[in-house]
Amino acid sequence: MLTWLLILLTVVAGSCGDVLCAKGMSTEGELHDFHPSAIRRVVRSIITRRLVIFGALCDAVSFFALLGLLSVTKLSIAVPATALSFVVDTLGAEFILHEGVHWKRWVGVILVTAGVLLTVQSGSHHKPELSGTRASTVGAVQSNQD
Amino acid sequence: MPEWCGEVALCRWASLWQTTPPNWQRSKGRRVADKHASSLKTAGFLFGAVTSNSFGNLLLAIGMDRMPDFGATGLGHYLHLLLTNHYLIPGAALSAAYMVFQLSLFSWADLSFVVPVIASSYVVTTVLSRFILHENVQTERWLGVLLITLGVILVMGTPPNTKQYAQESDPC
Repeated sequence: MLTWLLILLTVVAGSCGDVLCAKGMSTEGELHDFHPSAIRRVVRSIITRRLVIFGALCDAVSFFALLGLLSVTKLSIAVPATALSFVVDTLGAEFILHEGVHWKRWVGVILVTAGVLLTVQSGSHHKPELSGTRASTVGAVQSNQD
Repeated sequence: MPEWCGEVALCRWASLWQTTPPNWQRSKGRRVADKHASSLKTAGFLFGAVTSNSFGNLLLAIGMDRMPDFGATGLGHYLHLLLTNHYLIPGAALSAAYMVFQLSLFSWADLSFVVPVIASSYVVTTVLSRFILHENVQTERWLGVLLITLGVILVMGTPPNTKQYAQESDPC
């Protein structure tokens, strides 16, 4: 039961973080000036957006939930479960951000999720010890470790 | 005369009150140039996000591999080793750069476009693992890489910003 709760918390908090960050970044206009001298202004513009701050907090919750998940279950269950965040992100994009997700994107997301599951599963048989953040980081660190 | 001509004429009159010209008033060449520049910007930022994420994780993995076990040394000494590790600082900087690239992309591209495309960092990481770290990569992982690549190609075949695309397709 605790495992399922932690999987749910990891995936939902991570996707909430992505949706909030995307909403925060898109509602206040497109960033245009990326000249090296303007980088500080760009970073300040990003970190002062309220939704982005809430999104980062959700990502932090997701990170600690993943650490908790890794402490109660096997890596081969914990890490592939986080790959579901691709599907949940796309659901959030469709129903919360109203992006009008094309069927090609849905097929693409399902292929990517299946690919990530295969990539992470094949790596997790080798080395059971891992700590990481989101699905992408976990998969990348994992593939570097085995 | 097609039915929508009346609506377009109405839109043109209404747009006279706008300070910035709508898409249809700009020349076709200018619109194509803008679209090309926007595509290049998106591709550049996606490339930046994928490479900074992959190389950042690679450096973090190498750096952590050279660290002693957490319990084997005192906290102060462990922190000193962390801060003087030649791989961890650039790895953390690249991870921070990845966050900036991803959040910047969110300001003009869809979440449902950015997230799956950035998953191609799995592909880059697997290639780096095989050819730089000389790790043994299993067949299942190569199959996963193939699926991710196909998925990314499919997603990249859609416009990055569906709302803007819908507005540009609208004659008004």
